[in-house]
Amino acid sequence: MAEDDELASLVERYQHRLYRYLTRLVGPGAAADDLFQQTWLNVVRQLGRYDGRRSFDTWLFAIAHNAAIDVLRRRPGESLDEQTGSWPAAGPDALDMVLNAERAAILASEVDALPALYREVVTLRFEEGMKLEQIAEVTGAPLSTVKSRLQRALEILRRSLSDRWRKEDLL
Amino acid sequence: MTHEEVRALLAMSAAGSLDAAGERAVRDHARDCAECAAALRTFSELAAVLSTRPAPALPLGLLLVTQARMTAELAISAERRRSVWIAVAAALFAWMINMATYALIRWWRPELSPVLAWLALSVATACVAAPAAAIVAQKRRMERRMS
Repeated sequence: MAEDDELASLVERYQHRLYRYLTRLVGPGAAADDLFQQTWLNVVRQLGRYDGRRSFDTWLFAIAHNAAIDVLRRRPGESLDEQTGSWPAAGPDALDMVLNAERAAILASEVDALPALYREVVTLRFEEGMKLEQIAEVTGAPLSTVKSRLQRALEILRRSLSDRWRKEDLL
Repeated sequence: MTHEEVRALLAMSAAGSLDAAGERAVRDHARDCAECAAALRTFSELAAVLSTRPAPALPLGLLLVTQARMTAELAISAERRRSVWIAVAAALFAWMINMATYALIRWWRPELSPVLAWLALSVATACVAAPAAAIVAQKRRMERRMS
């Protein structure tokens, strides 16, 4: 019963953060809802293997990451596996003005259009506030890979946003 | 550091993921390089917006459904653990009974060959234990189905 109560309070504590992470990864809707439940069921099943010296955050998000991998693998071009293809290079600098709501909305759609690999590190770094080492632990990727994914993600965003904002006269 | 080297660090600087030396190198260079200063400003704006994106709302009822499924999963896990302990205890008990009975037979009929006595005892134990185990397993299956 005590275990049940502790788990219930953990779910309440992490519900919004976990749901946000899953939604960023697989998009809103049934897939995120299923993954949310699956993650917590896996937490129950793997509770005996949790090392109390490790951060619960990274352990929980690593479980969620592993659950999301299978879902994303079934979507063309959305895998969380390492990709060998090249992404567009960074373009010229542009954004000097203060960001407004419209620009923020465009940014949201651009983030959603990023490959899942990059979307994940961006979410974990900026929304979850995780350090790169923690992100490496969650994703099971080497630190250098995490760094390069984050750098590439920001470069892609900067380039595509510059183009879009310029087109829409938001600059 | 060269312009290109610093250029490669700008995104990480905006992400707050550079060490002190890297951060210093970026700031020093950006003071004299308009291009890098502009890029750094852009990355910083991006980082600020990314940190304040609105969170999606949790669907109504998802929390309760999840907690209910977790409670059920906990019960299944506890049941599984209990079953393992019961099996271990039963095996230990059967072994002790077997050894005691063997000692009793040897004391009662010392002329019997030890191998023969042991074989007879093993067959008798298996004949009793196998149906008992099957009955217990069937009962637990039915209990699980009922719950």
